Amino acid sequence: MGLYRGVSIVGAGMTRFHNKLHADKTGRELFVEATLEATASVDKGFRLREAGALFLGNFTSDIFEGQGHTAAVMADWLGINPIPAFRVEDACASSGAALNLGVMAIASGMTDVVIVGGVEKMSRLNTEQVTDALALAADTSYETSVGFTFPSIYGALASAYFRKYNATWDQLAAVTIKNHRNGTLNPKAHFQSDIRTTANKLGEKDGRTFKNELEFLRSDLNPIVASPLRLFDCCPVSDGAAAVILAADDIARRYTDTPVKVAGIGQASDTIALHSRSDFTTLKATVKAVKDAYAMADVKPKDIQVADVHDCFTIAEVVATEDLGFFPYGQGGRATEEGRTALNGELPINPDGGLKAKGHPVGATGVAMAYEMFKQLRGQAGKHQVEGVEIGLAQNVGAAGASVAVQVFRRG
Amino acid sequence: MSEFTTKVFNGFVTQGKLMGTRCKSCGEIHIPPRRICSKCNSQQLEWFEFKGEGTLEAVTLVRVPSSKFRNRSPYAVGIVRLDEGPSISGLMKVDKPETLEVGERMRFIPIKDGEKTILGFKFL
Repeated sequence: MGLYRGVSIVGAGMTRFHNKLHADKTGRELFVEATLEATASVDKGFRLREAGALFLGNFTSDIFEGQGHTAAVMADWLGINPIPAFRVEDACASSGAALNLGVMAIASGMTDVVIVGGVEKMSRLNTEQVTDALALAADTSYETSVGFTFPSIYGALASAYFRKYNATWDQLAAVTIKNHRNGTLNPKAHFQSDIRTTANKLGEKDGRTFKNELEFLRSDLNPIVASPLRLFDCCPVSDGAAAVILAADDIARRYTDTPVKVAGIGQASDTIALHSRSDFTTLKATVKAVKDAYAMADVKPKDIQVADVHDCFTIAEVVATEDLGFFPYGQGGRATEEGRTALNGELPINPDGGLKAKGHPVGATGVAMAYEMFKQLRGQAGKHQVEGVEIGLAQNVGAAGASVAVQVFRRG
Repeated sequence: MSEFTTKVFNGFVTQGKLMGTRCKSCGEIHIPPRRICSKCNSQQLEWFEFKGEGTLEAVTLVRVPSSKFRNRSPYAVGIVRLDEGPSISGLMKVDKPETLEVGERMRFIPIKDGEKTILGFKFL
């Protein structure tokens, strides 16, 4: 399997992800902001009208904002009608899937240039309303109907993982600590405070001191959401948007001398309910999608030098690093504890802070990962730059792995 | 015989029956019922009644519930691998939900919830 025509990213932009900063803005305004930044990032200039199609990842602005038909809204607000505009909904993998479709659109010969974006404006609703909205990504008839929420599905997954591999919650805490540390180096991140600083701040309010990060994370200031997952095992509720501009390889140099090639893509599905699977500790859709992406890019797991993986919950990062072939099954948590996935480790995972610290405006996440890889592979990631990386990977997961989108990127 | 729908499945749950489908072609059994076999894609399926006993394979204590489960919080929800093979999600009706652990033997029970019935499990 391959593409008839290669595709590269020539520009990328994103808003900061945050829950309060964008209170006065709607999703369309966030998306315009991200797209304008993407346009401005194109080295040799780009006009929005040069795009032949728009693919938009959006989970449920219908619920979050009372606005449906979002691809049309965005095309209108970018001022580029009558551009073909497509909304893609694969839950939390919506814009990763949109990116894969954008690549296919160019590879098919239908168009030379595509804008792919994602947006979610979540913060207008309260916690219970957001919990209800996110649960739509699970099986309404057979999971949420018996009391499952979205975090609790991953809590259940973690319980099975702990049992199978004799793993511990401390390994999950290592993911939290690492990703928050990375977030302090990313000006686009929702949280830019490490766990040590957060522990001091929250402890001070309460007249308590914590001798280390783990002591704080084990305390009642980090309450259980769905056991064994605590608040700091969960990504926050964020508003934000991201956009990339894709161009066919044969014309990419019109736009930049340093494009980032989408060397391989993969997309796979799995049962909507976690209970329908034979093993709850692996996401088969990740395994299949990455197998296809590696084959298309002609690379192996050991060739990947930096990766953004879908850490909506800490356990999801651990499982992802195993399913992607980076570490043996049952070893992902220990690898994190040993610092192997840290910014200065052998394979930096989520150098931008991941969903955990960067934030997870659901529909924007897949493209925000591509944004990060575009910056990393061009050496423009700033303080969280991983030195000298040429091959990167993004893994974007919908719900508990019923949809997975993967891309392998290579410096052009 | 009735159709393989969510409504019919839920009706059986209310009656205290855990029903799925069995593929006449490959023998695969499924819960909930399906119209198309997920293993061989045959449409030759028949109703199959589960005994309702199994082992808890995944469990979590929910402290931040959805709106419909607000009044039950905290509660345990999990996945039980039925002795016949397939597994299904259910609400755990146990005295100390926070102590529930993977590996427990469980038995299916319908849990009354106003007009509706929730698929639940209790200790075997």
